[in-house]
Amino acid sequence: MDKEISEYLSKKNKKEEVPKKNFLISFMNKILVCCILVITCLILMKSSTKFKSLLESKVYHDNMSFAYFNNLYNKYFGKVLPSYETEEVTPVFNEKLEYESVNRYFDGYKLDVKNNYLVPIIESGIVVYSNDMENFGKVIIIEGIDGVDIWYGNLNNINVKLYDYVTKGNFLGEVNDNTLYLVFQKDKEYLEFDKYFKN
Amino acid sequence: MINTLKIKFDNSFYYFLLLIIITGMFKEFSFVFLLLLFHELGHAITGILFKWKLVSITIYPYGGVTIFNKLENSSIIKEIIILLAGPFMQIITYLVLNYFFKYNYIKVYHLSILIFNLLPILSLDGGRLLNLILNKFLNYLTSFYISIYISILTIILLMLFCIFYFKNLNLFLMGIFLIFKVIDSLKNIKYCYHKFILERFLYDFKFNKRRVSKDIYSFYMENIHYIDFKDEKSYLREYFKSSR
Repeated sequence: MDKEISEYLSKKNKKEEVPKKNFLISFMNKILVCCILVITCLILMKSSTKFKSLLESKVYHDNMSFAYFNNLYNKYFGKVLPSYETEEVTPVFNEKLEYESVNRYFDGYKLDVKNNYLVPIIESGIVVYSNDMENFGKVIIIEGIDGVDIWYGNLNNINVKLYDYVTKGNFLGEVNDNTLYLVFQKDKEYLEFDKYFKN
Repeated sequence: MINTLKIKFDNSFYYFLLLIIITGMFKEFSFVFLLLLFHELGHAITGILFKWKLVSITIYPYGGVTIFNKLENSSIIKEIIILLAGPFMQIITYLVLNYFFKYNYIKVYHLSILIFNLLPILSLDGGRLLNLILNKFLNYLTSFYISIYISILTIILLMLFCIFYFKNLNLFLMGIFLIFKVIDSLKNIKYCYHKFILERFLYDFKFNKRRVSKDIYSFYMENIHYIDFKDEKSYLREYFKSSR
């Protein structure tokens, strides 16, 4: 009995030789698959212009509407990450957008507001862009839960950061002087100011 | 030691990752991931300090599992320290993250991961802790079955809460997953117990407490037993001979 046990233990101590997965070969395989995918895409792009335009529109000019999917998922299946409503989280700032006059400005609108006006967020969503832009100054783009991207231009003292989820009515930032630029965009089309606020 | 360190991701984690990409919660998720990783590293580092052999770290959406190649008869206090090191490390990580990033949701994630991990369900930290504390007073099998009952009760409560109060699919799936884990441990208990008594036969453990027990199925952890006026080791020798 003791002999058998000692034999078993000595066998166990000897390391069994397991054939190792060659890291280099598996890595090269993955690279080869990637190459094949890229080359087929390139050949298809060369051969048909339809595919090329489809790829261009989907890859370069379209983006996924994160906020829309998030809203949908939360509606039917509950939250993705744990969360609960807290009262002390956000400073009270439930203001509506106030302005004196609206004029067209490039693709969007130029709003005359008070000096150093504090801009509220029009629709809750996710911040997808936060940088300078030509003719618009510092721009924040918020992708709303209704699928409409709203651009806020000419801001400073910005309160939000990239990829933050923000809620309606909260404080976004301060206007530089007394003009605020707004652009409403849905599926590459620019919406009109009155139509957006009617819905 | 470091060569054997392997961090794996469960398949459910990839489903979770897909959800994160679709809903665009990159920032929120990175904090959750950091908290989970440091929680598991807390277990792993203390285990290595006790010179236990680390097998793997597996990360699940709302928690992780650190597996050691350990003896079933290892000391209760060491195991408790290793279990508590995870939450402790997580709290430290939370304090550091909270110092550098001023987001309110880090606190929410930290608390929910902590509370979820300390639920008395056997495959989670809380359940294992409960099992170890019960092992101090009850024998191995009884404490195991009591903790199984408690974990099934907790899972049922969790599922009911999930359906009527939280209304959350992810938590519900997690509950189903935990049920499978509990069934797994129920299947494995006879092998675990066999390992437990075989180790007592193979190795010499030095325990201080002594106890008279009726049969082989009522052994306690950290105790030396006497059965039928016999030493535990000689009794086990006969047992393994006869059971062949």
